[in-house]
Amino acid sequence: MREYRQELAGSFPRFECSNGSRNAGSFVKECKAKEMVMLAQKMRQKLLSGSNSQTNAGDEEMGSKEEMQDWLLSVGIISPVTKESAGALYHQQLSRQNWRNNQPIDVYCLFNRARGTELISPDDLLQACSLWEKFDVPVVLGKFDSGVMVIQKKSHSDEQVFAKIKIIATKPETLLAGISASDAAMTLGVAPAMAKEHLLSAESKGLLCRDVSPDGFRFYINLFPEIDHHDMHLLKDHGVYAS
Amino acid sequence: MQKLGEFKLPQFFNYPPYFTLQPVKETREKQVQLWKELILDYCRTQKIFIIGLEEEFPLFSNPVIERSLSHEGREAFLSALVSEGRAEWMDKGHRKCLILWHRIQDWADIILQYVKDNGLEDSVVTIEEIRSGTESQGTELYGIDRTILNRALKLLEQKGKLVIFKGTSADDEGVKFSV
Repeated sequence: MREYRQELAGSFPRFECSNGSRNAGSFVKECKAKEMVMLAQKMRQKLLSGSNSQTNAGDEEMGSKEEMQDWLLSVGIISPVTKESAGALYHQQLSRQNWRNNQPIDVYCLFNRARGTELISPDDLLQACSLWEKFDVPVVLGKFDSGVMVIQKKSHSDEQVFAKIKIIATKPETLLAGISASDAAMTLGVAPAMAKEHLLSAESKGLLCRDVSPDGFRFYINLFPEIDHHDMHLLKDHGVYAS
Repeated sequence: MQKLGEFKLPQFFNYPPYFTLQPVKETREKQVQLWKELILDYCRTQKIFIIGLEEEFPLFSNPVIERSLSHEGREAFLSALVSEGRAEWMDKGHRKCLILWHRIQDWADIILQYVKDNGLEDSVVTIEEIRSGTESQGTELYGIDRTILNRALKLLEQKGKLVIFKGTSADDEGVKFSV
């Protein structure tokens, strides 16, 4: 995706117009049609070549493909690809928005694409985040210990996520086998990377603890506080560990 | 109840996270405490005096849940015992650890009790007799590690409770008690 953006950014100077302006709106009005067609064709080729991607790599490619379609739309260039998938495009964007759980980088890209010509900087976005609470916008900027920042609906508070995690972690199957980031991703309805952050966060709060083995990286409900070291054989609630 | 030989294993031995070194401070502290106690308990009942980190030590694996303590984990828990004076590293590379499920001072007291129980207050005995003679059968002294026994005897010598003397061979090393 970065390469596409760089390329987009890089291609602008070639189309600098007579009045020195570089924004897309001016391109359409004042630049030569020939140059526009060349740019459009180059973009279309990129879009079409991206259509055979596999699922995982495809997610990244899909993102840039949609971004480019959107960019083309915003400058008034309609390509067959765009026309056909316009309806599906926005639906995909919406679901992708939910799936991607809104890391600032995604919001930043979506916002800039929507605005079209008057782009904002990453700093602008971060500053805006700090104003949300002031203006009662039901969205918060959260930060994980790892440094990852996330934009969440206010209803998605830490306590709620932890409550969900606790329920999952105390189910019989989880007591026996633990939970991985991908398991949690499905149950919580978030991306695996995000689920892992939530699990690590729950671990740091003492709610979960980790199990690292050839089977992978899994988490269990933290039972250490419940183990009475003076009476190590006493049967407690989670008696599933008896044999 | 799961057992390791005759040793009754605690329930949490089947809890997979018990075998992964926990990063969160509070969780780690509890984990360390549990492992220290388990190691001492197991060594005392099985009369194990030395743990080799690179060898198979049954307590460090649980085949039922297919988990084993990593080398890092083993070293962490044994080091915790060393810090507490309940174990000693026998080499710089931390490959072997002497387990003091009784501290040296405790062993010294046990020897004095053995002397009293058997009326050996002014007697001479070989060191080997102390650890394998008929009088020590059924006591904790029976089968004691030689290194530990020697350390305890040296401690008692410093306190004037006995004199160690060398014989013609290791089997002849003996002590004269003056308890």
